[in-house]
Amino acid sequence: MRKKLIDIENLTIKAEEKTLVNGVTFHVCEGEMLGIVGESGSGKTLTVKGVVNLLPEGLDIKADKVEVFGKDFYHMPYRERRELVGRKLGLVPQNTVFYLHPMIKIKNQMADGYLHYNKVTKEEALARCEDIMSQVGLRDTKRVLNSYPWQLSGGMRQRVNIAMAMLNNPGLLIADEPTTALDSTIQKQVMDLFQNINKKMNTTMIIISHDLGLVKYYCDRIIVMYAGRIVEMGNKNELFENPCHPYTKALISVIPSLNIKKEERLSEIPGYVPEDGRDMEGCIFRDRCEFASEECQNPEKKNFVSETHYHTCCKF
Amino acid sequence: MSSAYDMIPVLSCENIDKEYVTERTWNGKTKTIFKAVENISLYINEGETLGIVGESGSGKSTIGDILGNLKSQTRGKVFYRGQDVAEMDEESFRKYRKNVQFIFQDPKGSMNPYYSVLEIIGEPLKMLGITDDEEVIERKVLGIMDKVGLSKSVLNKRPDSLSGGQCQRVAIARALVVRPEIIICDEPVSALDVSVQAQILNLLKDLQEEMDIAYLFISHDIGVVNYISNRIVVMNKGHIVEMGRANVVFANPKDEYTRKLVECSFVN
Ligand SMILES: Nc1ncnc2c1ncn2[C@@H]1O[C@H](COP(=O)(O)OP(=O)(O)O)[C@@H](O)[C@H]1O
Ligand SMILES: Nc1ncnc2c1ncn2[C@@H]1O[C@H](COP(=O)(O)OP(=O)(O)O)[C@@H](O)[C@H]1O
Ligand SMILES: [Mg+2]
Ligand SMILES: [Mg+2]
Repeated sequence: MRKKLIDIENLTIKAEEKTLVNGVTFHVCEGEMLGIVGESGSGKTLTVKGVVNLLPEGLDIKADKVEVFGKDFYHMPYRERRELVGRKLGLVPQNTVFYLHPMIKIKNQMADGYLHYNKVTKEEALARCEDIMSQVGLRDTKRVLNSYPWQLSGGMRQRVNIAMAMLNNPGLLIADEPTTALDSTIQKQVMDLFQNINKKMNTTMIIISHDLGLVKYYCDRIIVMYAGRIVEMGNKNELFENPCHPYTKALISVIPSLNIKKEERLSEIPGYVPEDGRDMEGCIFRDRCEFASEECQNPEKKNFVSETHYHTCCKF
Repeated sequence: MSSAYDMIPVLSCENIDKEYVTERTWNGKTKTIFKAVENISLYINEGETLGIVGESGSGKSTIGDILGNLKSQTRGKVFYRGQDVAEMDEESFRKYRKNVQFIFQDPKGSMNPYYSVLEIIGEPLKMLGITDDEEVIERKVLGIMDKVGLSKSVLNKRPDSLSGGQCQRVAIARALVVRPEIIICDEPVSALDVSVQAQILNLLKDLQEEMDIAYLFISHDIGVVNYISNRIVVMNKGHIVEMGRANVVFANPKDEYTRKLVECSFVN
C-alpha cells in the first residue's frame, strides 16, 4: 500500500456542546486524488480545516489521530507547522470574496507569498505569477495583476486564488469548492491542470465539490458526508456504479442532465441538513429518508461492500 | 392569444457596448480602456426564459445590469416594451423600474442585515410608491411568502439567521412582490447546494407558469441553463457567439466555443 499522507481517526469537532463533525475517520495516500461531497453544512470544510489545524476560533477538536506528512499536526511546534503549511500545503479556500485583501493589488498579494519562501527577485516572482495564472486560464495576466480584487469578476478572483495556492508547488493541495464559480470550460481547464500536477508531480489532492459529475471524472476515491458524518466511502467506480446509501443516491439524482425533458421536474431532497442532534444514536439521515423505519435508530455501523467501499445504511 | 402588444419583447437591447476605464493619469484623463462587452443585441419575450451562458468575465452580469439600469452602457440602446429607456418620461420609467426586477447570486449581500424578512420583501412596495400602508404591505408580503415556500415563522427574522436556500427564496419574494413582468436572475443558484438548487429551479418554473413572468437567466452552468431556458445566448469574451433554442444549440453547437462548453461539462 502507498504511504498515507493524511491519516485521521475519529475526528470530532464541537462548538461548545454542539457537535458539528462526528467521528470522522479517513486517510489519503500520497499521490491520491480524494473527493469529498455532500450538501453544505455537512462539515466538509470544517473537516479539512480540522485536518490542517486551521479551525476558526471557538471550536474544539478531538481526535484519536491527526497525522499530516507523517507528523502529528496538533503536537508540533508552531513555527515548524507554519513552515510546513507555507511550503508544502496549498489551500484554495471556499469563500474567495473575503480571502483577497480588497485594497491591495493582485500582484502584491501574489508575489509576496512567493518571495517569502523562495530566493528570487521581484521580476522572477512576477514572471512565475503570470505563468501560473495563464495555466489556470486567466487571459490578460498583466491587467489582472494590476487590478484590485473588486475590479475582477468572481470567477477571475477564484482563478487568482487557485494560482496563489499553486505558486510554491505544494505537495498537498486542498481545494474547497474550487470551480463552483467557474464555467465548464474553465472548470475543465483548472481540473485538468490539477490532474496534470497530480500525475506529473505526484501532488496529493483533496477536492471538495458538490458537482458529482466532476468528482466522478477526476477523483480516485470519494467520501460522501452528511450532517457531520461519513455515510459512504469508496473508489469512484464502486460509488457511482453501485451507490448504496439513500443519501448518495439522492445526491446523484438532483443534478439536471443535458438530456432532461423540459416538462420534467427535478427531483428534490426534501428538508434540510440538521444543525442539531448530530451526536444522536442511529442513522442521521433517517428524518429525510424515504426508506426509514424503526431499525434506523440502531447504532450505525460500517457495512462493507468491498475492502474499499462501505456505507452506513442498515437497509442496503 | 397573442396580440400585437405581445409581439413586442418585454426587454431588449441593440448594439450595446460597455467600456471600463481601468486606469487614469494624474489629471483624470483616460489612460486604459477595457471593453467588457461589445455589440450586444438581444430580446426577451413575454413569459419566456432567455438564458445567458459563458465563462466568468465574459460579460454576462454586465449585460444584465445594463438591461436593468444598474449600470449605464457606453453605446447602444435598451428598450422596455419597445420604448427606449434613455428617452422615457417619468411615468414610463417608473413602470419599467417596477416591471424589471433582479435576483442575485449572493442574496445575503443584497439585503440590509438589519432588516427583517418583512421589511426586505416589503421594501420595493414603498420604494416604487405602490403603497405605504403597513397592513397592505404585510398582507402582500405574507401572500408572496406563501407562494415561494417560506413559512410565516421567518417573517420577523433577519437574513443572518436564514439558510442560503431560504435567503434565495426571500430574494425571489422581494422581486415578485411588485408583480414584475421580467426578473433578471444573475447566477441565482450558483451559490446553492445541488439539492437546494433543484428546489429553487422547480420554484422558478412553477412561478413562471402561474404568473407568466419572463426570466433573463444568467449562469455559467450549462446543465442548469439548458433546463430552465427556452432560448439561450452564448457569450465569449464580451461577444455573443451563438443564439438559438436551447435544445438545438446544445444538441448541435455551431460555434467552436459553444462546442467546447458542451464537451467540457460533466453533466450527461
Ligand atoms: N465557526 C463556527 N462556529 C459554529 N458553527 C460553525 C462554525 N463554522 C461552521 N459551523 C457549522 O458547522 C457545520 C458544518 O459547516 P461546514 O464545514 O462549513 O460545512 P460544509 O463545508 O460541508 O458546507 C454547519 O452546520 C455550520 O453551521
Ligand atoms: N468596475 C469595473 N472596473 C473594471 N473592469 C470591470 C468592472 N466590472 C467588471 N469589469 C470587467 O468586465 C468584464 C465582464 O465582467 P462581468 O460582466 O462581471 O462578467 P461575468 O458576469 O460574465 O462573469 C470582466 O473582465 C471584468 O473584469
Ligand atoms: Mg464548505
Ligand atoms: Mg457575473
